[in-house]
Amino acid sequence: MSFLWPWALAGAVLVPVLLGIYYLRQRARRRMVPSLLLWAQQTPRQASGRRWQTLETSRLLILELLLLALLILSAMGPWLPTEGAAFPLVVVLDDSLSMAAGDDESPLIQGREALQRELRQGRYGEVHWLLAGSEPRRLEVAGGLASGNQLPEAWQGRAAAADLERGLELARDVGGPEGHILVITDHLPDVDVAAPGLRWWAFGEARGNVAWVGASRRPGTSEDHVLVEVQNFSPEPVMRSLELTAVSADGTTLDGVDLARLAPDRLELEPGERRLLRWRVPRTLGLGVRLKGGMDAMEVDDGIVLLPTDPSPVRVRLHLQPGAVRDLLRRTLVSSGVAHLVNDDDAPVDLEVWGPGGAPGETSEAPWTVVLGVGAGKSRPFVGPFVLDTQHALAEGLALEGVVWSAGAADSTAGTVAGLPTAARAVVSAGDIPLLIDHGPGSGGTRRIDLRWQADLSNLQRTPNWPILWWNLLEACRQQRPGVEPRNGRLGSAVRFRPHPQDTSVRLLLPGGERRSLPVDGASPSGLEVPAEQLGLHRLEADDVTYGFVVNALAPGESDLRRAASDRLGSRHRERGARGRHSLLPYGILLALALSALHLAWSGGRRRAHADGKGPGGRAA
Amino acid sequence: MSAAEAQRRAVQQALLAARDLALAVPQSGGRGGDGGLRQRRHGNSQEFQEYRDYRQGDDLRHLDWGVYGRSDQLVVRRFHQEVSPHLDLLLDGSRSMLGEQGLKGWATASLGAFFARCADHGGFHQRAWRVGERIEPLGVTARDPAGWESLAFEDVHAPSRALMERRQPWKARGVRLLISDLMWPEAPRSVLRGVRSGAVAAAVVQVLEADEVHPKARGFVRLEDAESGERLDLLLDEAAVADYEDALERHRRSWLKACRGHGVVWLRLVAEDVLEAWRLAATGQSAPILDLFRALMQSRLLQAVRRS
Repeated sequence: MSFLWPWALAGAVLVPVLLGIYYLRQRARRRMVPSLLLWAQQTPRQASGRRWQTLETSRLLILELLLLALLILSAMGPWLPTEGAAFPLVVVLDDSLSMAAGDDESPLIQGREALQRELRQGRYGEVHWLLAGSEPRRLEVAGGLASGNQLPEAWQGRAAAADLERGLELARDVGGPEGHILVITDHLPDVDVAAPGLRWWAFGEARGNVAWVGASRRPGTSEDHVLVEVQNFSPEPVMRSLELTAVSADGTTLDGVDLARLAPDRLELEPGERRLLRWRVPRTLGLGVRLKGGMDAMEVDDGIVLLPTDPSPVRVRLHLQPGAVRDLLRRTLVSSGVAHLVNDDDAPVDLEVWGPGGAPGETSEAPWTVVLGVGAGKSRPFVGPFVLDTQHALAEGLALEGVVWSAGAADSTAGTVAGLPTAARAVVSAGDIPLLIDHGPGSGGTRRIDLRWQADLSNLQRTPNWPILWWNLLEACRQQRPGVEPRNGRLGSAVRFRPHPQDTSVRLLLPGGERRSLPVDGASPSGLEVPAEQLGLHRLEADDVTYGFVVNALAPGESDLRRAASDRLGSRHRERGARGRHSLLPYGILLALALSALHLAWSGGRRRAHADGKGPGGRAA
Repeated sequence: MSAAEAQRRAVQQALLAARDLALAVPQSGGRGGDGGLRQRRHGNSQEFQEYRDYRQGDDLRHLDWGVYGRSDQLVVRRFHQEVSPHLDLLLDGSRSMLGEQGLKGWATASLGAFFARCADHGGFHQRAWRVGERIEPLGVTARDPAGWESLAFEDVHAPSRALMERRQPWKARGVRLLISDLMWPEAPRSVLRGVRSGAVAAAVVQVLEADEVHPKARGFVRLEDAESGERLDLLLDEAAVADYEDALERHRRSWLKACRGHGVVWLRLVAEDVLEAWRLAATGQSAPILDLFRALMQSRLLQAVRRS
């Protein structure tokens, strides 16, 4: 038994006070009598009466001492520890990929079995579930009560990482000061688990593993560049063979494609070695790579798929008068390799370039528009220093030293940076004269770029800045086109999908076949964020178009199973501070009331037996 | 109110209460102290009644020469016709008469004053005696209330032995009135013989406090004899009270029997009742007084008189 207020024991000072009162009460009172004649004639019955009286007094004294002791004990707030029946339990579930390592003996399966056994004991009044992935979150389980059969189905070991520290913080918030916390994971803690009521159950096992830890695909001029990294998380050297598979843009396996030339058929890795592989892959061809051979603890990190990046060029229509500027632009765009010049006025385009004197009309349907012009005021050459908005995508790679950039020197504020509309940004300016202006996203996803430049008075077009600038423009335009980015995602990283402005609905088809609807209305200009929570090929179905993207594991922290371990740490009981308590105060009060009633009955009976002699005050004989 | 003031007020009220009462020699026959019949007639008769010791001033013609010749004792003969009403008022002057709260002392002093006044009303010659270790004249009369008001009870000896002496100073053929609590071990008969001897009438008035008649159960007590100082530790419970009351009743019956045997009027008064009767009498209520002294009224020792 423990006590909430042990200082109340100071009330024991009342015990000698009570004894003193009894002593004083039992002290003989002096009484003067005319003679002891009649008192000395007491009969022997007096002796027995005296014994009875003494016994009764002692009984009352003992009762009062018991009552006093009980009151003191109750004031001390006694309580008994319980087995946690009144405590909530918060279970933090490690949902990282490594929990699934080991197939039938995975930490996930062992953790489930252990949890079921623990919950079946019925010690807890309520159980709260926290799924600890990269972002721990609370789960709702059907029924909400502790039950061995009601474990969260969402716990599958799919997350790229498990932020258990954040999960513990959330668990303390959910469980409160009285809550018990139970962590199910596959490794030993990095935090102190000596806190009362915190348990850490690890079911991992140190295993060797070889995994893809990095992959990237970038479009090249005629082929895509593929970079992949593989690492040996084993204490011994390993040898693996590579199985390459051709995959279509929508993820379908293509047969009959010879990929042997791309990569070696065997791979030998030293313990802990991490190796970078570089390949060139046709731009329209997707590539699947799987590690084969040897004992492997995890399969999910043995294979990766790299879909082709968006192969379609940016469709450009030039609205320029024939001449040097038009020719210059044609050469620039064609040489970029990502632009396709469209001559058909009715064909859809992604980008329109308007020359001096021209302006996009209301009939333009191009999402992007570049307007070439001199600008307001008399044209003059600017030699710098130029001010670049280095945060803007259009300014990436520009180096304007030695550049002569001629444009109109505005003679009023309207033509200066200060005179730009609120949404517009000067990407490049000479002093307060804007030279490259981004008017920002417009309605319907359109965008207008103003390039103030007088060709015959400038050498911009003869510097590397000119093709860089147009490359940036084309790339920015391409990225703003409806589609998904990146097409080759990493588990735990979000994928951004830009629907067509006219799309009314979008559905996400997950690798397991589950379908989800994504909200299109009110989507930001940058698109929808699609969580990459499952491995494999995903499809986004818009009204008329289907976009695909793939999510690869690529989680070296999870693929490394060398830190996995098994142990059970911590204690259920709270040895310090607040603990499961069963207060004994109500019992003390009830017992005190019972003793008080008994005291009342005894002392009242005694008073009746010793009623005052109130006979007549003397009568004549 | 101090004890002295309380006693003074009690005496004043008692004197007032006695205004319509008078002491008298009972006319009806009764048994004398020696067992013989008392003569009915009184007055100047030559009929011999009694002897008494010679006192200076007595008529030598009344000397009994025969007794002198036999015993060299000078005694004189007394005749009824020569006895005028006389009261010897005997007050127990022992400390026990104070009582634990003083009520008994006030009642005793006021009773003395009361009977003295009544005797005065009855034409009695009176004399008050303090009886303790010795018998001493008090020297107070009803005409001297201050004496009664300042009456003290300080003797540490019970008057029993003094009363048992054969030779007593009180007047023969008078009325004797003993006021005491009678708390002594000597047999009543032995004491009464000394009180009754030679008296035409006698009365014993026992005065007790209410707590002495019906003690209260108080738990552990240390009883202390008011006179001897002896102590007795006792658990004063209901059983002890019952035993005491039985003993008190036996004591009363023994005194009553002895008084009847000696022709003495017996009366027990409770001090609180006496003081209350004085208070009521002071407001004009005389009934309590008459009720209080019924036994004396019935024996004709006390009579109501009409005073002009």
